[in-house]
Amino acid sequence: MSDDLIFTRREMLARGLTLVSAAATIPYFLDRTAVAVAGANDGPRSGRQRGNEAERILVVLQLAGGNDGLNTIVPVGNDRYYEARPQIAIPKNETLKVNDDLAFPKQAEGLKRLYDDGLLAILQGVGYPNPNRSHFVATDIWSTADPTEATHNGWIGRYFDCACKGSDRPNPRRGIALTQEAPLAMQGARFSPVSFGSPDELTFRGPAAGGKGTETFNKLNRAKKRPGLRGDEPFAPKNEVSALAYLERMAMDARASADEIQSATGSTGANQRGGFQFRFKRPGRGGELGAQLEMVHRMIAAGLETKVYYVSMGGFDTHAGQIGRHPNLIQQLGEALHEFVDNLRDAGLLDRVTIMTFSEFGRRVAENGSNGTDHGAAAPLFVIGNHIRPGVHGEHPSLEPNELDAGDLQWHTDFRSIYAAVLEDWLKTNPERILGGPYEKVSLFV
Amino acid sequence: MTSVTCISFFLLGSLLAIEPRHGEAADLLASSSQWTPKHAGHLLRRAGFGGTPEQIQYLKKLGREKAVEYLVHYESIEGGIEPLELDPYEPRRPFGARGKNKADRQKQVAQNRREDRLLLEDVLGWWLEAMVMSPRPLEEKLTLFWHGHFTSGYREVKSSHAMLKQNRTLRRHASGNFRQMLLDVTHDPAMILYLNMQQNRKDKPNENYARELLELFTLGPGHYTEKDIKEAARAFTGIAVDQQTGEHVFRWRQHDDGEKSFLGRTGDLEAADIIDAILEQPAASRFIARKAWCYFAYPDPEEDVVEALARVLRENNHEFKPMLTAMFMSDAFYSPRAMFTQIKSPTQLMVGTMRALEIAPHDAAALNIGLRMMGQSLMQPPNVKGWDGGAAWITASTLYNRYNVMGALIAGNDNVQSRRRRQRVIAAMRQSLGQEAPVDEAALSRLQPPFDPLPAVEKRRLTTAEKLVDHYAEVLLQRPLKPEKRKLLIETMKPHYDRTNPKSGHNMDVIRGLIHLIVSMPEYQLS
Repeated sequence: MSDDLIFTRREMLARGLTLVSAAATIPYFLDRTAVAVAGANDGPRSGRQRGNEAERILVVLQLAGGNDGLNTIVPVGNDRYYEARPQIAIPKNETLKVNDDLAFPKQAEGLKRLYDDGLLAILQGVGYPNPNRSHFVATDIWSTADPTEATHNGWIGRYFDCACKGSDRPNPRRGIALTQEAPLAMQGARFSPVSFGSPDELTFRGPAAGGKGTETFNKLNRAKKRPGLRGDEPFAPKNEVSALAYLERMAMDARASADEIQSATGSTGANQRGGFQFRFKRPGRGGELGAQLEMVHRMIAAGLETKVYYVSMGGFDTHAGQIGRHPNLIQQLGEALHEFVDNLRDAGLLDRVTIMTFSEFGRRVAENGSNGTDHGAAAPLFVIGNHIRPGVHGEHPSLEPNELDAGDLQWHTDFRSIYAAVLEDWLKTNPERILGGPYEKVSLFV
Repeated sequence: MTSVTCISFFLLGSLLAIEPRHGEAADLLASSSQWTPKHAGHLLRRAGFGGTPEQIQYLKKLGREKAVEYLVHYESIEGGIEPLELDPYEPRRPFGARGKNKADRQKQVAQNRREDRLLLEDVLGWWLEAMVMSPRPLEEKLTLFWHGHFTSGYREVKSSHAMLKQNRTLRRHASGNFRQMLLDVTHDPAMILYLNMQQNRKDKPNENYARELLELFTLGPGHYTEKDIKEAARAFTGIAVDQQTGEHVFRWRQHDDGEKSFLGRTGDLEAADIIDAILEQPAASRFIARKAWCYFAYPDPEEDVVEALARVLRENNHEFKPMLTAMFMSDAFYSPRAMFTQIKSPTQLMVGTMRALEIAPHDAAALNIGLRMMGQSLMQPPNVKGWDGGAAWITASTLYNRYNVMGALIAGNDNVQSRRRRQRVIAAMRQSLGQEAPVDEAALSRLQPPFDPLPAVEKRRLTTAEKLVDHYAEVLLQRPLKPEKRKLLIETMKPHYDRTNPKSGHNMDVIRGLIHLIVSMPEYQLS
């Protein structure tokens, strides 16, 4: 037996390798420029009608890290707030009025305008029993709608599971997440969303990409009709043939999703607006979130059959230096949401869209020693659209020190009662099956 | 390779002497001598990450028994991967912090965290290199298997030393003894931190570890009560991590030494008693046998297969090697349900491609980012359940990421733009971490060269499109290519291929394109 059959340590050294001691998180994979950049562009879809005009759309916006509710909807009329936060409380004269007791920070112009236009609902004191203060567990709880952590799929995913009749395979494009990894909230028992950080990801790249190579790639990733298979079987292969049939179908699905999404977002040059890439009226506003929502707008306008979009904004874990950081986040959030809504309204699409925000928890009432706040519990969330009852829903949770739960605000509205309202009154489905029980709906929609 | 012949066959002998209780199970774990390259390739893919045609041929020549022995008794294979030594553990990392006031201390903690995160890149890089380069594929495959079973995640553990230590623990017992494994896992610092044993104290028990131990690690739901969880948690009180050393300690004052009742045992039970009580349950051996079978062979196994395998484990004092041997020897392991029916995990896909093409990992940091893009961040499983695997690996974006990460692996990233970019990253890290921070510039500057097909072209005289397609189909797909796909690949390649100069740089680009097309086939996603 020759020595090169199995790698040996000696051989590794001969190859001039030392045991790797690579360091650093590098925020990209391998240089894009290293690979041929070519699109799998089949051109714009001609003749595709805008389908499902009447369909309602939900946009879920995750504020990751635990948004500080108290500095988002500021209880300017409550002295306890100012006592608990001597350094980071927002003075009344630096706010935009909501009512006598509440105000936005002055940077939240976008939110204020949505509020003044009667498009913004503020739901106070949202939480659940025995709040968890770990980012990951709490995010899982909001995603699964199960504080016992016994459920391993998400509430939106289960909505798609249920919406899909009989043996039909759920169409993955019904749910699109603009996140690198598919969020748990969108993951069903059978449903799995299309998720991507950027539509460019859904492009075949590398040494074979471009021209004839991409053409061959497309042919290799085509599903073949196979006798004895219906074509919607779940993955439970009896042999190589059925395993391969499943993968070919997934590959074809992925290509279809990629083509449709790229044609809708114009990321390969094709787009729906006569050769001009659609841009928000005031491009660049709302930062990264604005760019994501611009992409969602394009997909809605292109008439994708998508029912739920999921976007995420990070940076809310403000343990330190909150004074400058948090108002910036709220400004970006407000600008992005206002720009999104304004452009939807201009395009006549606002009637079809409701936006809901959530964050895994609020923050501690009292500030910490580094001008920040630690993980808390109850917090407000926003629901935005044309069909909602605007204004403030529910009382502000008590700020009296003896009425706090380990220093945190107590919840009075279970987040599942908001999910129930969204599911029943907006998505028109029975929420009980999805949430695993009845929850008293919040009276949120008109 | 003389080591193979030294292996004693006594375990195999004792295994074959086991008298199966019922006929069906005997049939399902039965073993014949049928042994073709297809069988050998399947064994090397599943009990490892696959390999070159020469390596498959080597196992083929050994025959089934000796091939299985060779892989399972891997201690006899010389030249194992060298252990990684991190800089000594410093107590300030990541727990305590020095500083005059709270703000200073918090800044210190944040700095410690960032520095510790850098060390994780060393650990991940070392592990990936071990998987690609180790001459003991099953040791690596098992370590990965156990990592998905006895999970811990860095985000929660926050210590690279602890994650490395856990990897060593899983490695040490990978093909060892289930009882020893459970004892060491229960006292493993990363596990203690991950599942809140640190907070599990007398009069204030935290049930997290006790619950997952029963539900996910050993028995499965339905084989214990909520009371059992509570009692087990009490028995585990006192197990903690010493923040000064990063090692496991036992804190007697936190330990609840009262009477406990667990799965029929009563007394002042301690961790070892709980583990013994668990192992007395037939459900424990069945649970782990089922998990192993699903991972290595196919999901939803026949109950008789599970029971037969579980019995091998029980009757061998919970030693894993006899069970592994029985599994890899059985005909069921080579049945149509098993062959090319498994969706490769991202790690299997990447490591397997590198092993098949003999690509050495130079830029491990970038390769680990590739794994994350495909949906498998090592040392950061999605939750305590580990990776679901199977169909869950495949979504629109992960599928494209699979194709594109493989494309990037073959193209490499060793170019001027990458170098400049890498320098900017290093500068940014220096700026945020300070000049003294352990930023390993040499490692950071290492880039992945493009895959070089020239040695194979020369050695095998691959001078036509047909020969190249057939060669790389054999190397990568390890099964015959369908005639229409073969034709398509040849037709795609031919117009670009320069027959007059087979070794030209241009042809190497064309060959890299061909390889990228083959690894971007649905067929290649299956093992």
